[in-house]
Amino acid sequence: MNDIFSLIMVSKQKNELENILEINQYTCNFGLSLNEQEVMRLLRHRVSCLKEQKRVEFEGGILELLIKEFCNSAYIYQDNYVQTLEALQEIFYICKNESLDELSDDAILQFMRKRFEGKCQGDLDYLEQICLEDLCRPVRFAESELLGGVEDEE
Amino acid sequence: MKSDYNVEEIIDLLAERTRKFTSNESTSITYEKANQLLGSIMYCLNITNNEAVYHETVEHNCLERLFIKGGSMLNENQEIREWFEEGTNMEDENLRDLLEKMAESNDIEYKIALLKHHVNSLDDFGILMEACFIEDEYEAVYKSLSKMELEILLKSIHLKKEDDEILHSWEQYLLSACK
Repeated sequence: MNDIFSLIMVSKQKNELENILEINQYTCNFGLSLNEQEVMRLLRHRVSCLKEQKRVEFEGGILELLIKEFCNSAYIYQDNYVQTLEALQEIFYICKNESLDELSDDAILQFMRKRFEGKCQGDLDYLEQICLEDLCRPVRFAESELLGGVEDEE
Repeated sequence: MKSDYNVEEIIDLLAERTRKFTSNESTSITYEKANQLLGSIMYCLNITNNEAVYHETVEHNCLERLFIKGGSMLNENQEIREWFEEGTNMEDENLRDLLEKMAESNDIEYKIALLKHHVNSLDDFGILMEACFIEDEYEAVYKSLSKMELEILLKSIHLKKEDDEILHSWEQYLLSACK
Protein backbone atom coordinates (compact mmCIF):
# COMPACT_ATOMS: atom_id res chain seq x y z
CA MET A 1 0.00 0.00 0.00
CA ASN A 2 2.77 2.44 0.92
CA ASP A 3 4.30 2.14 -2.55
CA ILE A 4 1.08 3.65 -3.90
CA PHE A 5 1.88 6.86 -2.04
CA SER A 6 5.30 7.04 -3.70
CA LEU A 7 3.62 6.55 -7.08
CA ILE A 8 1.20 9.38 -6.32
CA MET A 9 4.18 11.65 -5.71
CA VAL A 10 5.85 10.65 -8.97
CA SER A 11 2.64 11.13 -10.98
CA LYS A 12 2.31 14.72 -9.75
CA GLN A 13 5.85 15.71 -10.74
CA LYS A 14 5.01 16.98 -14.22
CA ASN A 15 2.73 19.75 -12.97
CA GLU A 16 5.19 20.71 -10.29
CA LEU A 17 8.05 20.91 -12.76
CA GLU A 18 6.23 23.68 -14.64
CA ASN A 19 5.26 25.52 -11.46
CA ILE A 20 8.80 25.51 -10.11
CA LEU A 21 10.32 26.63 -13.40
CA GLU A 22 7.93 29.59 -13.29
CA ILE A 23 9.36 30.66 -9.92
CA ASN A 24 12.68 31.29 -11.69
CA GLN A 25 11.20 34.59 -12.82
CA TYR A 26 11.15 35.68 -9.17
CA THR A 27 14.35 34.01 -7.93
CA CYS A 28 16.47 35.41 -10.76
CA ASN A 29 16.20 38.72 -8.91
CA PHE A 30 18.50 37.11 -6.36
CA GLY A 31 20.82 35.54 -8.94
CA LEU A 32 19.25 32.09 -8.57
CA SER A 33 17.58 29.84 -11.10
CA LEU A 34 16.93 26.17 -11.76
CA ASN A 35 16.96 24.39 -15.09
CA GLU A 36 14.65 21.48 -15.93
CA GLN A 37 17.22 18.86 -14.98
CA GLU A 38 17.88 20.44 -11.61
CA VAL A 39 14.17 20.68 -10.82
CA MET A 40 13.71 17.01 -11.72
CA ARG A 41 16.66 16.16 -9.46
CA LEU A 42 15.03 18.09 -6.60
CA LEU A 43 11.65 16.47 -7.20
CA ARG A 44 13.20 13.00 -7.23
CA HIS A 45 15.06 13.84 -4.07
CA ARG A 46 11.81 14.99 -2.49
CA VAL A 47 10.13 11.70 -3.34
CA SER A 48 12.97 9.76 -1.71
CA CYS A 49 12.86 12.03 1.38
CA LEU A 50 9.11 11.49 1.69
CA LYS A 51 9.55 7.75 1.27
CA GLU A 52 12.28 7.70 3.86
CA GLN A 53 10.16 9.67 6.32
CA LYS A 54 7.04 7.64 5.41
CA ARG A 55 5.03 10.66 4.35
CA VAL A 56 2.76 11.48 1.41
CA GLU A 57 2.37 14.97 -0.05
CA PHE A 58 -0.36 16.68 -2.08
CA GLU A 59 -1.12 20.14 -3.40
CA GLY A 60 2.03 21.69 -4.74
CA GLY A 61 4.51 20.33 -2.28
CA ILE A 62 7.01 21.97 -0.03
CA LEU A 63 9.71 22.66 -2.64
CA GLU A 64 7.98 25.78 -3.98
CA LEU A 65 7.56 27.14 -0.46
CA LEU A 66 11.18 26.41 0.42
CA ILE A 67 12.40 28.22 -2.69
CA LYS A 68 10.27 31.27 -1.95
CA GLU A 69 11.32 31.35 1.71
CA PHE A 70 15.06 30.90 1.17
CA CYS A 71 15.81 32.47 -2.22
CA ASN A 72 16.93 35.79 -0.72
CA SER A 73 19.24 34.17 1.82
CA ALA A 74 22.72 35.61 2.16
CA TYR A 75 24.13 32.08 2.29
CA ILE A 76 22.62 30.69 -0.89
CA TYR A 77 24.19 31.36 -4.30
CA GLN A 78 23.85 29.68 -7.66
CA ASP A 79 26.66 27.15 -7.05
CA ASN A 80 25.17 25.73 -3.85
CA TYR A 81 21.49 26.38 -4.68
CA VAL A 82 20.44 22.83 -5.62
CA GLN A 83 22.42 21.09 -2.87
CA THR A 84 21.05 23.51 -0.27
CA LEU A 85 17.47 22.97 -1.40
CA GLU A 86 17.98 19.20 -1.22
CA ALA A 87 19.25 19.47 2.34
CA LEU A 88 16.47 21.87 3.33
CA GLN A 89 13.82 19.50 2.00
CA GLU A 90 15.35 16.69 4.00
CA ILE A 91 15.49 18.75 7.21
CA PHE A 92 11.93 19.95 6.70
CA TYR A 93 10.42 16.46 6.50
CA ILE A 94 12.50 15.23 9.43
CA CYS A 95 11.11 18.16 11.44
CA LYS A 96 7.54 17.35 10.40
CA ASN A 97 7.89 13.83 11.72
CA GLU A 98 9.92 14.72 14.78
CA SER A 99 7.42 17.41 15.77
CA LEU A 100 4.68 14.75 15.54
CA ASP A 101 2.87 16.85 12.91
CA GLU A 102 1.96 19.36 15.61
CA LEU A 103 3.59 22.27 13.77
CA SER A 104 2.28 23.83 10.57
CA ASP A 105 4.46 24.03 7.45
CA ASP A 106 4.71 27.80 7.85
CA ALA A 107 5.89 27.57 11.45
CA ILE A 108 8.66 25.14 10.53
CA LEU A 109 9.71 27.11 7.44
CA GLN A 110 9.91 30.38 9.35
CA PHE A 111 11.92 28.79 12.15
CA MET A 112 14.32 27.19 9.66
CA ARG A 113 14.78 30.43 7.77
CA LYS A 114 15.42 32.47 10.91
CA ARG A 115 18.00 30.05 12.29
CA PHE A 116 19.64 29.48 8.89
CA GLU A 117 20.31 33.19 8.54
CA GLY A 118 21.12 33.74 12.22
CA LYS A 119 22.67 31.22 14.53
CA CYS A 120 23.62 28.69 11.82
CA GLN A 121 25.05 31.18 9.31
CA GLY A 122 24.19 28.85 6.45
CA ASP A 123 25.49 25.65 8.09
CA LEU A 124 22.95 22.94 7.19
CA ASP A 125 24.19 20.29 9.63
CA TYR A 126 23.91 22.78 12.45
CA LEU A 127 20.45 23.78 11.22
CA GLU A 128 19.22 20.19 11.42
CA GLN A 129 20.61 19.87 14.94
CA ILE A 130 19.04 23.14 16.07
CA CYS A 131 15.68 22.32 14.51
CA LEU A 132 15.53 19.02 16.34
CA GLU A 133 16.71 20.51 19.63
CA ASP A 134 14.94 23.86 19.73
CA LEU A 135 11.84 23.20 17.65
CA CYS A 136 10.89 19.53 17.83
CA ARG A 137 12.09 18.59 21.29
CA PRO A 138 9.77 21.03 23.12
CA VAL A 139 6.82 19.68 21.12
CA ARG A 140 7.67 16.09 21.99
CA PHE A 141 8.30 17.07 25.60
CA ALA A 142 4.91 18.80 25.85
CA GLU A 143 3.26 15.77 24.25
CA SER A 144 4.88 13.34 26.70
CA GLU A 145 3.86 15.57 29.61
CA LEU A 146 0.29 15.61 28.36
CA LEU A 147 0.35 11.84 28.18
CA GLY A 148 1.69 11.72 31.73
CA GLY A 149 5.12 10.52 30.63
CA VAL A 150 8.27 11.25 32.63
CA GLU A 151 11.06 13.07 30.81
CA ASP A 152 14.55 11.73 31.38
CA GLU A 153 16.53 14.43 33.15
CA GLU A 154 19.93 13.34 31.83
CA MET B 1 -21.49 -3.37 -10.32
CA LYS B 2 -18.86 -0.69 -9.97
CA SER B 3 -15.57 -1.97 -8.63
CA ASP B 4 -12.76 -0.38 -10.64
CA TYR B 5 -12.69 3.23 -9.51
CA ASN B 6 -10.68 5.87 -11.30
CA VAL B 7 -7.42 6.14 -9.37
CA GLU B 8 -6.98 9.82 -10.24
CA GLU B 9 -10.36 10.65 -8.71
CA ILE B 10 -9.57 8.68 -5.57
CA ILE B 11 -6.28 10.56 -5.25
CA ASP B 12 -8.16 13.83 -5.64
CA LEU B 13 -10.59 12.76 -2.91
CA LEU B 14 -7.65 11.82 -0.69
CA ALA B 15 -5.99 15.18 -1.35
CA GLU B 16 -9.23 16.95 -0.46
CA ARG B 17 -9.63 14.94 2.78
CA THR B 18 -5.99 15.68 3.63
CA ARG B 19 -6.49 19.38 3.04
CA LYS B 20 -9.46 19.42 5.39
CA PHE B 21 -7.75 17.22 7.96
CA THR B 22 -4.74 19.51 8.22
CA SER B 23 -6.84 22.69 7.83
CA ASN B 24 -4.58 23.57 4.89
CA GLU B 25 -1.61 23.96 7.21
CA SER B 26 0.44 21.06 6.00
CA THR B 27 1.21 19.84 2.50
CA SER B 28 2.06 16.34 3.71
CA ILE B 29 0.83 13.69 6.12
CA THR B 30 2.23 10.41 7.41
CA TYR B 31 1.55 7.12 5.62
CA GLU B 32 -0.36 6.05 8.71
CA LYS B 33 -2.77 8.98 8.50
CA ALA B 34 -3.06 8.69 4.71
CA ASN B 35 -3.97 5.03 5.10
CA GLN B 36 -6.69 5.94 7.61
CA LEU B 37 -8.15 8.60 5.32
CA LEU B 38 -7.95 6.33 2.29
CA GLY B 39 -9.62 3.58 4.30
CA SER B 40 -12.54 5.83 5.18
CA ILE B 41 -12.88 6.89 1.52
CA MET B 42 -12.85 3.30 0.24
CA TYR B 43 -15.28 2.25 2.94
CA CYS B 44 -17.74 4.95 1.89
CA LEU B 45 -17.30 4.07 -1.78
CA ASN B 46 -17.76 0.36 -1.22
CA ILE B 47 -21.03 0.90 0.64
CA THR B 48 -22.47 2.29 -2.58
CA ASN B 49 -21.06 -0.59 -4.60
CA ASN B 50 -24.29 -1.95 -5.99
CA GLU B 51 -26.01 -1.36 -9.29
CA ALA B 52 -29.13 0.39 -7.98
CA VAL B 53 -27.34 2.93 -5.81
CA TYR B 54 -24.70 3.48 -8.45
CA HIS B 55 -27.24 4.46 -11.12
CA GLU B 56 -29.30 6.48 -8.70
CA THR B 57 -26.33 8.48 -7.47
CA VAL B 58 -23.87 8.87 -10.27
CA GLU B 59 -25.79 10.58 -13.00
CA HIS B 60 -22.69 12.58 -13.79
CA ASN B 61 -20.36 9.64 -13.20
CA CYS B 62 -18.60 11.56 -10.46
CA LEU B 63 -16.77 9.57 -7.83
CA GLU B 64 -17.16 12.35 -5.30
CA ARG B 65 -20.94 11.99 -5.44
CA LEU B 66 -20.57 8.29 -4.86
CA PHE B 67 -18.30 8.99 -1.91
CA ILE B 68 -20.74 11.47 -0.41
CA LYS B 69 -23.61 9.05 -0.90
CA GLY B 70 -21.51 6.35 0.78
CA GLY B 71 -20.82 8.65 3.69
CA SER B 72 -24.50 9.37 4.00
CA MET B 73 -25.42 5.68 3.94
CA LEU B 74 -22.68 4.91 6.42
CA ASN B 75 -24.07 7.51 8.77
CA GLU B 76 -27.56 6.12 8.45
CA ASN B 77 -26.26 2.70 9.37
CA GLN B 78 -24.21 3.92 12.28
CA GLU B 79 -26.83 6.30 13.68
CA ILE B 80 -24.67 9.22 12.63
CA ARG B 81 -22.42 9.67 15.59
CA GLU B 82 -20.01 11.68 13.49
CA TRP B 83 -19.96 13.10 10.02
CA PHE B 84 -17.84 10.29 8.61
CA GLU B 85 -15.64 8.94 11.32
CA GLU B 86 -13.81 10.07 14.43
CA GLY B 87 -10.53 10.36 12.56
CA THR B 88 -11.81 13.29 10.52
CA ASN B 89 -12.32 15.60 13.47
CA MET B 90 -9.98 18.56 13.34
CA GLU B 91 -6.81 18.57 15.39
CA ASP B 92 -7.38 20.39 18.72
CA GLU B 93 -4.96 23.17 17.88
CA ASN B 94 -6.55 23.79 14.47
CA LEU B 95 -9.99 23.84 16.05
CA ARG B 96 -8.81 26.37 18.64
CA ASP B 97 -7.38 28.61 15.91
CA LEU B 98 -10.61 28.39 13.94
CA LEU B 99 -12.68 29.18 17.03
CA GLU B 100 -10.58 32.27 17.67
CA LYS B 101 -10.86 33.45 14.06
CA MET B 102 -14.61 32.99 13.98
CA ALA B 103 -15.26 34.44 17.41
CA GLU B 104 -13.40 37.62 16.46
CA SER B 105 -15.45 38.16 13.31
CA ASN B 106 -18.89 39.70 12.92
CA ASP B 107 -19.02 38.93 9.21
CA ILE B 108 -21.53 36.11 8.84
CA GLU B 109 -20.47 35.28 5.29
CA TYR B 110 -16.85 34.96 6.34
CA LYS B 111 -17.78 32.74 9.28
CA ILE B 112 -19.91 30.48 7.08
CA ALA B 113 -17.10 30.27 4.53
CA LEU B 114 -14.68 29.18 7.29
CA LEU B 115 -17.21 26.67 8.57
CA LYS B 116 -17.74 25.12 5.17
CA HIS B 117 -14.06 25.16 4.29
CA HIS B 118 -12.66 23.59 7.44
CA VAL B 119 -15.31 21.51 9.13
CA ASN B 120 -15.46 17.84 8.38
CA SER B 121 -17.40 16.32 11.25
CA LEU B 122 -20.60 16.83 13.18
CA ASP B 123 -18.62 17.18 16.40
CA ASP B 124 -16.62 20.13 15.10
CA PHE B 125 -19.74 21.62 13.50
CA GLY B 126 -21.57 21.51 16.84
CA ILE B 127 -18.71 23.10 18.76
CA LEU B 128 -18.44 25.97 16.29
CA MET B 129 -22.20 26.53 16.06
CA GLU B 130 -22.42 26.71 19.83
CA ALA B 131 -19.46 29.05 20.28
CA CYS B 132 -19.45 31.33 17.25
CA PHE B 133 -23.00 31.88 16.00
CA ILE B 134 -25.98 33.69 17.47
CA GLU B 135 -29.62 32.86 16.85
CA ASP B 136 -30.04 35.50 14.14
CA GLU B 137 -27.30 33.80 12.15
CA TYR B 138 -28.59 30.21 12.29
CA GLU B 139 -30.86 30.57 9.27
CA ALA B 140 -27.98 31.76 7.06
CA VAL B 141 -25.82 28.83 8.20
CA TYR B 142 -28.53 26.25 7.46
CA LYS B 143 -29.26 27.82 4.08
CA SER B 144 -25.60 27.32 3.18
CA LEU B 145 -25.74 23.58 3.87
CA SER B 146 -26.58 21.00 1.23
CA LYS B 147 -29.73 18.89 1.42
CA MET B 148 -27.69 15.89 2.44
CA GLU B 149 -25.84 17.81 5.15
CA LEU B 150 -29.13 19.10 6.56
CA GLU B 151 -30.56 15.57 6.56
CA ILE B 152 -27.55 14.24 8.46
CA LEU B 153 -27.74 17.10 10.91
CA LEU B 154 -31.46 16.63 11.50
CA LYS B 155 -31.07 12.93 12.00
CA SER B 156 -28.36 13.42 14.59
CA ILE B 157 -30.54 15.94 16.44
CA HIS B 158 -33.46 13.51 16.43
CA LEU B 159 -31.20 10.82 17.87
CA LYS B 160 -30.08 13.16 20.63
CA LYS B 161 -33.70 14.00 21.36
CA GLU B 162 -34.64 10.33 21.54
CA ASP B 163 -31.80 9.80 24.03
CA ASP B 164 -33.24 12.67 26.15
CA GLU B 165 -30.08 14.70 25.69
CA ILE B 166 -30.35 18.47 26.14
CA LEU B 167 -30.49 20.22 22.78
CA HIS B 168 -28.52 23.39 22.06
CA SER B 169 -30.34 26.46 20.78
CA TRP B 170 -29.00 25.94 17.23
CA GLU B 171 -30.38 22.39 17.27
CA GLN B 172 -33.77 23.46 18.61
CA TYR B 173 -33.89 26.18 15.96
CA LEU B 174 -33.37 23.66 13.14
CA LEU B 175 -35.98 21.29 14.58
CA SER B 176 -38.61 23.98 14.83
CA ALA B 177 -37.75 25.35 11.38
CA CYS B 178 -38.29 21.92 9.86
CA LYS B 179 -41.63 21.25 11.54
